[in-house]
Amino acid sequence: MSARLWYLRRGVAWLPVLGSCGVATVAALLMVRWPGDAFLLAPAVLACCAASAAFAYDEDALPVVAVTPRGAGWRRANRLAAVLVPLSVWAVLVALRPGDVPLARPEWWLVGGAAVLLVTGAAALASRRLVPAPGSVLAPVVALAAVAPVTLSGMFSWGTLYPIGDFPDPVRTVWLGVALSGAAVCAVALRPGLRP
Amino acid sequence: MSSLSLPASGIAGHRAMAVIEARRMARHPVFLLGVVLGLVVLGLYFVLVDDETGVPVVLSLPLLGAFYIGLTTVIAAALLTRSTEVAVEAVATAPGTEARRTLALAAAGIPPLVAGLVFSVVLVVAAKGIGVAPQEWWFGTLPDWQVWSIVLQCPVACLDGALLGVLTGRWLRFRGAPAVVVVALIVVTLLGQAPILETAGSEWRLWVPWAIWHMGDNPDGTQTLIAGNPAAYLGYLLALGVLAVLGAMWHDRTARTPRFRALVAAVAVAAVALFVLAATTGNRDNRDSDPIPSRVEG
Repeated sequence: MSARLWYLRRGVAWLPVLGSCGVATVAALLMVRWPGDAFLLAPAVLACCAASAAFAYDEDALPVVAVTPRGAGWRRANRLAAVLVPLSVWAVLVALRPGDVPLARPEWWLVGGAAVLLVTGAAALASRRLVPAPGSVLAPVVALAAVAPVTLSGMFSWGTLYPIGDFPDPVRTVWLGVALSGAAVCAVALRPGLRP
Repeated sequence: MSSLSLPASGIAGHRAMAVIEARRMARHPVFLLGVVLGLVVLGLYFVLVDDETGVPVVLSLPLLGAFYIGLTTVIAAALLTRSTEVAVEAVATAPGTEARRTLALAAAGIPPLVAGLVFSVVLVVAAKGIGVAPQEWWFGTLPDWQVWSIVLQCPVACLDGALLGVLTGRWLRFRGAPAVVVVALIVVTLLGQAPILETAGSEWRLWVPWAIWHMGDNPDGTQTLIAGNPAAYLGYLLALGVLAVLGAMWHDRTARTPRFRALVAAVAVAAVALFVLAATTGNRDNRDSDPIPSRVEG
């Protein structure tokens, strides 16, 4: 256990992971001040938490550590623990319901869990392909993708992927699909070995 | 190392560096993803959001291009700028100072500008082909210069996205800076104008980097044109872009000559003047269109 903790403390790029979580908290505080804008701020919180997860697999010395005796599988599996930080931040923020915004709790936990899982899988997959810092590209793209549905829902009559109040079944199905996709990507990425 | 073969100074050297940066942007996968998404979503809108009177809320559609192309360009430009710093010792042997390289990086805004122009042309041509309701805020109900100014906000926002990305890459060294900038840009843009859009002082929203000009979902079938002067606002956006480049060049201490400082001050004053002009001229109040019968709710 101590070796795992030592590795996590030294190996994970905590600054961007915690920094993104900090920005998520700031967005949640904005939601306390402007609860009427939760339709944008709640996705912004999600975007920051998901972006935080994208940094969990950043490792500048990847070509070196990938061939150490511990093995790439051990390294990737242990880095999953870093993802608990943005997940916890998301869980707490949804539980607190900043600004008394009526976020449906189990469903919004699902939204965050699904997004973080998919991003984690993508980052782990990139790490498997020996990309040293997938978070640099993945985080901003994920942040943008998380907020993009807000603009789309304003222009199309498709409804929103981030419902405030009632959480319709079709939206739950979409997020369950995202969660399943994330789980599948994680399963592929966390197989022992390096490139597929 | 193509940069080592560049002329040591002068216009030719700068042009060669600028061409390299423009090519790097044009090939960047994040930028290309944004262009494809922007055009696909615009196409989906034309196909799926049908109305017997034509394309609805057409004057809101430049937002799609600005969002998908402009924001992905912020990310791509920031990554391009940071990528030059990875090999900073090698780059230091190349011609020019950091400020000169930054100026060359500004050329990375050319492909997004062109992509935004293509988006706008597609929008205008499709709207002409499909048609719009006669009551819609568009050519015919608005002066042409106002429509063009709002439509051209899209390419200018795409250009500004690249320049903001260069500014981000120069000043913010932490990983994830583009993600934070993109989220902050969206939140500031919305929160900076949404609360006052339907008030008497709606023209003071125009300080934000993307102003909403048009709302088309009124229950009585009307559409609202928000107050302000779109042409002056377009100038304000361009001034913001120039300020972003100058701000990025400011990172190089050797560039901060008295002449450069004066230039920064002059552009900042011009930006403020254009903002005041945009807010105090043009349409004085929000205007509602005639109701479009097919869009009256109930």
